[in-house]
Amino acid sequence: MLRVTQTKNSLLDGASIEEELYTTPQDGKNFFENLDKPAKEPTKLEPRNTFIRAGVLTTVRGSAYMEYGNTKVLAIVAPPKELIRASARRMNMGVLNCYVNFAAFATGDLESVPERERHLGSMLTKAMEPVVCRTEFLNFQLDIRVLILDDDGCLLSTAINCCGVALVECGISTYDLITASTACIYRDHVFLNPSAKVEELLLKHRGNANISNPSSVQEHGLITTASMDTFEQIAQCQQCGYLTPDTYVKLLDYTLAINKSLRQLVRGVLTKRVKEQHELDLRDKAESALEDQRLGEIIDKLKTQGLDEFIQTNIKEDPYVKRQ
Amino acid sequence: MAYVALSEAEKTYILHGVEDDFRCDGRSRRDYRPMELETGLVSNASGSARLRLANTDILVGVKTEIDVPNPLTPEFGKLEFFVDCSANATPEFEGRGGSDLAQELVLSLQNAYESPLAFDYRTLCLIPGQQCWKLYIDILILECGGNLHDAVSLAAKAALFNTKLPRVTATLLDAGITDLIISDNPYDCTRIGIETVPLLVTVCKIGDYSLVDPSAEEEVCSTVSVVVSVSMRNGAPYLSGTHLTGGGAMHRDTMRNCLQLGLSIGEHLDKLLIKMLKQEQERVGPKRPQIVGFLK
Amino acid sequence: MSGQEEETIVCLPGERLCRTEDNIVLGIGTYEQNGYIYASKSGIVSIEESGENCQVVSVHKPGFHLTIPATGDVVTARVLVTTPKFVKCAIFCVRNVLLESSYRGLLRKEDVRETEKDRVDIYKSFKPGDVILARVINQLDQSFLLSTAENELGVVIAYASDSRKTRVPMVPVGWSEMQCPQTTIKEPRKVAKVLPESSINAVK
Repeated sequence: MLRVTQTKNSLLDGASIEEELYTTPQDGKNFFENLDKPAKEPTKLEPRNTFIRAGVLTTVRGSAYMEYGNTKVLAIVAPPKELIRASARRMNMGVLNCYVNFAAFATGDLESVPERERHLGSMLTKAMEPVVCRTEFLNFQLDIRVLILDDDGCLLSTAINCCGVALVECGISTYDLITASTACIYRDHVFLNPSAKVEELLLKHRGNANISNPSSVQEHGLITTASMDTFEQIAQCQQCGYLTPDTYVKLLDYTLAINKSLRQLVRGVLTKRVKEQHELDLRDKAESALEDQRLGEIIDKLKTQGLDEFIQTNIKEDPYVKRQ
Repeated sequence: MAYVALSEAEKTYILHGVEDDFRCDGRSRRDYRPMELETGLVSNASGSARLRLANTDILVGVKTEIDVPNPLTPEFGKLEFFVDCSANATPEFEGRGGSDLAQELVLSLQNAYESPLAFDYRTLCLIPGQQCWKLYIDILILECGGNLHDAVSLAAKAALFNTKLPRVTATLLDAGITDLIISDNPYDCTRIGIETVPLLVTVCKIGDYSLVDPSAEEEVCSTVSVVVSVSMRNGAPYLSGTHLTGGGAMHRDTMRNCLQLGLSIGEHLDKLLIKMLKQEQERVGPKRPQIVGFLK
Repeated sequence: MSGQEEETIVCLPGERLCRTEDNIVLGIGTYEQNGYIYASKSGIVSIEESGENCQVVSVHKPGFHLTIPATGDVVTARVLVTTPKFVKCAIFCVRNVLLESSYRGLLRKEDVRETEKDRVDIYKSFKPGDVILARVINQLDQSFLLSTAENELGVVIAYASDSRKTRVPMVPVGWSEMQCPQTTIKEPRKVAKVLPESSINAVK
């Protein structure tokens, strides 16, 4: 059903490989016909199967890993550092920088990677800015790095969710928890949490739907919304495509509903994490108290025994010290 | 955005002005500042426009090139945006200082022009699947006085309107190779349809109110703004790309209100722009006034 | 810590903790909005009494604490460069917390000593490699401004210039001198009178 057309790959001069699943407009159409189409209006507003874990890396304090269906993302928050460029300084705010990188195997389409990285980085920075208490680290810049391990759509929203968890894990003050989700519309079908294939179809075969009938307006578009639900604020709402205002609001409401259920999930993960760490802390504290007690005893002994005697008794106790 | 130092008192003054619907320069919240627009003043470009929106000064040049269309979209031409924030605009832009802002503008424009319904890429097609026009839209920011998104999109639209693509005739040679002959006659040219080309409208939230066309000072006071890309099609406004900027967040209802404001302003702005452009075009010939450029 | 005896309350950023009242003070990890106090960090809520029926609400994050030097903190720093007018150093420890990455510190000539500020000679006070205790007095664009103008602040660990092989730290022999126990060479330094950490913080 899918036709493979050979295209020249600039990376491998002379050789040619094919990684596009569909290459001609007709293929795109066929693909769409064979796609499992959701109902015109979605009935269930829920996120994909999600897995989140905070603190996955031991080398970095603030890290989080998230799987959103097949999309896999790793986020790292480094401790704030001094501004490198003084000109980037904003009045009384810290500066936030987000960098997105694709792992070499994350996506088939290598050509557009640098552009997508830049675009995602810029959108991610905008989405994270409202949630971080930037007044708390004046003259500092906070670097958030995101590594995309596998791309199956909803990249931006997954990255936002993952960064939100990583920020909390790092102990950076945030006004709220941030969650994000994606919805798109293509040929009158609303796709919630679109897969990479649907997103690609939307972006690359955008215009084919109305070629046969130029006068009709075929809406198509994708919305990524990030929200903070304590104050019901929208931190970022990015849209591309071509939508009527009504459709826009409809999609916006869908994503907000998904964000709410995602928020419950994130809360669960973070609460568990806090409890886990609290127990570790208590254990540490008990251990160090024990250690202090032992030290106190030794000091007491030292006071009563005098130095020489103390050393003599201690050497006997310690099997690792060689006697001369 | 360009950085203006404002004291708390000045900010409060601006805020109160916005609350009373009477801004520092006497405008209401829905008013734009005076605009000056001139097209066709760069002789080396296929199309050009200069827009002055109060203190914001933008020069846009459109260059053309013949390219091979993307195999996925054989009937589409190509567009490429480039924004140069020259150090003349503000000293902050020196070195790499303006690159972040330039990138943001490029991304917003790309996003807005992405849909083939917003910009008809088929008018740039020469031979489907083989040859197409590629337009380079070079945007030069000469002075930075706030509201760059709107100014840049207005200027880009005007420059596209002004762009003249030379007529191309293709002859079929042996083995299916085509030869393109580009017309030498400068008056033998085609134009680009700009009816649906989107305009960006920045709706800025200051205090509890939203307003359009913020000046540089007002931008400093605002916590968040929505950039709405409005494309008019068959007399109805469509959204071809929106995003929030400015580091703040807003409520869903505020967002809806901002969208509505942006759409109505965009619709009005689009109508006016097209009217003005048509007016200027009709004055071609002996009636055409001298090119003023930067002299006033 | 009141966490042990009471039931621990876990909170997450954005959670509403309580109403703002006159006798409630915002502690770390909280912020105020529209008359309510919200958490800005994940952790355990703790309410501490602090005299005159005043209560401090704060959120303590278990595990890792993010620490940034703040004005007034005593920091430990290593001297990197000395010039006639200032000393550049790398802050690697704030109070008793070891930092993840070091921050830049700047100690000006005027802030070296409390008295006779005009007669301070940087070269007779610090040498690159010394470990100093200092107090953060301001935050500049690129670095923290430090001061050692207190008896308890100044050089704590220093090595004599020619003691590369032995690496035995010098012993203070006065307010402005340190001596190498092996070579008995004396070198001038702005010596800190080292006290237990608790008493330094009390000096504030």
